[in-house]
Amino acid sequence: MRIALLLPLLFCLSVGTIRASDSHLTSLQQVNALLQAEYELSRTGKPYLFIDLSEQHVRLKVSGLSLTDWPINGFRRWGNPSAHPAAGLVRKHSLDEPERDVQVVNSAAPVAPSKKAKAYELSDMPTAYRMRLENGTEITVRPTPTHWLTHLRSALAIPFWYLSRPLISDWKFLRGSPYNELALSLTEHDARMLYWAFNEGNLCLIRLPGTGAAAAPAVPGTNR
Amino acid sequence: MNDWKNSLHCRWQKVQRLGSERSRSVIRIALMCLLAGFVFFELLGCYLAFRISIPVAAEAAAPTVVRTAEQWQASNARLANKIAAQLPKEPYLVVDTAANRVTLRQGDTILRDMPASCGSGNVLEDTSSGRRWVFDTPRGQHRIQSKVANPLWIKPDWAFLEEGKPVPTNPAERAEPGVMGDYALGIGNGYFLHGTLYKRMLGRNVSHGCVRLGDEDLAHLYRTVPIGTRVFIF
Repeated sequence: MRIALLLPLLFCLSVGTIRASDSHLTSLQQVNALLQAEYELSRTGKPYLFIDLSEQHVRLKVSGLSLTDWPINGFRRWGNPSAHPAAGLVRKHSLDEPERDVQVVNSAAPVAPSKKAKAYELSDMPTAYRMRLENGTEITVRPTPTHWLTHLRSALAIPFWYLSRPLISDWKFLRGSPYNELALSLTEHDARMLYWAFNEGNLCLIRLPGTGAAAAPAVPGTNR
Repeated sequence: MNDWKNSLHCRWQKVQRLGSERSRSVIRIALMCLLAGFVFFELLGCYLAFRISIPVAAEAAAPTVVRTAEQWQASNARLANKIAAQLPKEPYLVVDTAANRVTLRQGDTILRDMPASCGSGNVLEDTSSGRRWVFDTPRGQHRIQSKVANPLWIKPDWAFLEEGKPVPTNPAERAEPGVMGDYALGIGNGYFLHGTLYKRMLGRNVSHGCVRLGDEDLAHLYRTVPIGTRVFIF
């Protein structure tokens, strides 16, 4: 009788062990896919963005080398905002998009432009914007609240964010595409830097939290 | 007569009460339906978002590889080493066009940090020829392709148009000495790391795409950086 009682316990333990080893394998497989994607990118010699949600850093990299990195102060995600293999940036959108000064001259009747053009600088970049990747993933960047008013506004926006996303998912599903969003919170300076450095055509890799954090081997010399 | 009036009044009140009760219940049912619909669509949205993942062509096409944990770990280590092999072993230059700084690095060590002036990002349009110039410093990976002492600036068309002068037909009229500093390090497509007369503007976006440096920093780079050195611009 006692042995009979032990049997279900043994069964549960064995199932637990199998599931744990399965998840370890899946984790290793995910890391492998990510490394494979990064290796392909590093071979191109073009700059790419590595959004590491596991270590909460955004890194701008070229040939595996981390040129600069910006810490993520907070993030929310909806759906599965992965980018395996790397997805290119299609569009950046902001309510206050920066504009370049345009000087018009006429080579047939040359006259020096009357006003001096203002430089297109980092301070002109927006701090809140959306970026759309070619696989449909939306990346929203917002500045980290610093004032109590912005803290309050940000806290009030959270329930609205979580209530509105399912409805957007429904709408997008009707239009035939899944909806995946990643909302990042960066400091104002870092948000501007990201807008400045990450441009249309650049590729992006996203490492989700828990994607083999322990299983990923460190790449030497990349400030990981 | 009064009895008849009273009974009519009572009946009218009863109808009114019944009507208001009905309308109240109709509103209640409508609100319930709306709430149920909202909850339904919320749950459906959650299901769609977390059950249906992005269809990835490569994943779909890739055959399922059956490997043990050790094999996966070995494969991951191999890939990490392959990525590490891409990293420059020799010194390299990093140009931050937003901060207007150039750093000479080796591995993770910064050997020299220098203020610079990068592209202004302005646009010049020539209505007559339809040509358009954007004064950005080219982003990406480049290499030092040439090193020149006492460089001569061969002024491009935009330099004349910006000054309101006609573009000369004689190439000799384009040469202007002394404006690029003592040295110039070419990175291709007519872009250089060179000196400047406007040293007070170092740290600001004022150039036409080249990277301007101070005299000492430029001399140091000219001495220490060989041709073929990688230049990463972001």
